[in-house]
Amino acid sequence: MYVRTRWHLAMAAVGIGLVGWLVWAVRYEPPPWPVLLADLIAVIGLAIVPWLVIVGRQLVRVREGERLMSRVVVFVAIFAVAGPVLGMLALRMFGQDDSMVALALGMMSMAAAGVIALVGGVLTPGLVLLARTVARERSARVRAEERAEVAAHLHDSVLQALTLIQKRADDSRSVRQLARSTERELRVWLYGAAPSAAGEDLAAAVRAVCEEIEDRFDVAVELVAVGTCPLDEPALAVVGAVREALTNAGKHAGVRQVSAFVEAADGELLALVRDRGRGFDPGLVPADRRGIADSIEARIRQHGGTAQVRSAAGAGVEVELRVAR
Amino acid sequence: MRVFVVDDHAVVRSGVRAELAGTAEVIGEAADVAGAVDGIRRLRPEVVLLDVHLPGGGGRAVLNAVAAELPQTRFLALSVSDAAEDVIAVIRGGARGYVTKAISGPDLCEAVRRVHAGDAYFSPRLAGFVLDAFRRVPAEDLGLDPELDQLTRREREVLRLVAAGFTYKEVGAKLSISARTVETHAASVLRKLQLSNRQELTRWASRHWP
Repeated sequence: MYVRTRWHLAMAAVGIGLVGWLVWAVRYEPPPWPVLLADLIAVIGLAIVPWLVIVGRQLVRVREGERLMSRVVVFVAIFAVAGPVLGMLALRMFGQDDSMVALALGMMSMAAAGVIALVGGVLTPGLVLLARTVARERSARVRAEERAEVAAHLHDSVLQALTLIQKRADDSRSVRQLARSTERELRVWLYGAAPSAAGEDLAAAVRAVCEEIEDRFDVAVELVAVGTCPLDEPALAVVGAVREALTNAGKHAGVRQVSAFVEAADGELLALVRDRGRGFDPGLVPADRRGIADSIEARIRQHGGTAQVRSAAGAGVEVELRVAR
Repeated sequence: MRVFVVDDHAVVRSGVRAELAGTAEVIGEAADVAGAVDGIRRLRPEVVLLDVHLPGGGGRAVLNAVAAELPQTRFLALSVSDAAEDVIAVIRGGARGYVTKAISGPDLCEAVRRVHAGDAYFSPRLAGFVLDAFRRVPAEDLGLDPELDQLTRREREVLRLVAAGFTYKEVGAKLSISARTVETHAASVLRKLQLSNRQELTRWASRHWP
């Protein structure tokens, strides 16, 4: 049942009035004990509960505040009920002679309930609300900073690229190039796989080669790299041979997609490059065309590895490199 | 084949719908976890194309909600993400394959067909992730179960060729085994991927969905 705040305030006013009457009655003309008891309970109900409800409404969305408030309510109830009950018991046991002792006991307990209600009801909500405001301000500031950073980054990369793409819409090659390089950049930023500077390790060097090929020849290189190793002599040979294989694919295959796989296993470097393009008949390659022989096979053999180039007209090209290390 | 598409981008959903036309019938779509769970329960599709990143808990939440009660429904994960942990987590949640959104139309149809038939479908990227996850220390050194925590030499070879962009048929031809045998190897890799307790796998899976 929802009761409006102003009714709570009215009830609280009645409660405070009753407190005044109670003090006057106990001082000058003590009423019989059942009336006293009823009055005590009414005072608690009217002077304390409305106040707690009003404050509780402010805190209902803050779990911590809710918990604190419910504890306050429990303590208040215990003291408020225990006081009169103890008073009545004392009244029964010692008879009317000690009625002042019994009353004092009850009133002290009641007063404790009031103090707890006031302290708990006034200080707790204040503290909780203060803490909440501070936390909210901090997280709002953090969010604003993050948003500014994201906005700055998107502006520098994606927004610029989209503008350029609109301007050059009829030049499909440069549009693809822009889209690819922006995608690469965004991926690095989103997934944090920042490629270490080329020249550090095998995977990064091959990735750099693939990006260079993508930009030069308007092909997409789907690279899968497993493991990595420092760029020693054999690794450098593999990178060079992969570059040559990808260059051939970009120049001659006539397709938009090339696959590359590079694995640095414990004892061996393995690289596979393949396209589904035009292909060529190895038997018909003129002897003076040295690209494959020099740049791929010789390079790999120099490091004790094997290089195989398989192709047939119309069947694409497949380059397999293996070097022990 | 009755296919259900879950992706938060309408452009992707309509693209998938167009690419699958003629191969499969798209019987429903959803853009978030709640919608997906609802639709899948109601329509009981044979294959669900499931985006890895979804509002409301990700593809993993959908799998957790419906995979156990609908054993006939197969899941194929779909994503632009490069993050290995996301992909591995969805596979461990019950998806039978993973493709990137850059996949060509015919390849997507092939992937859906394979998953529908109960096979595993590895994109080159997933094959790379799996090789990476099972690389490193041999399982017996860590007291792990070699049956589940290690790939056989043959499985490794198959995955390498898949990672290099070969189709199952081409892999079979290159290794002089039948395409059916390649499928068997892929299925056994999928089983290991889902059941292994290997640290790399559990770490990846738990980092994103604790």
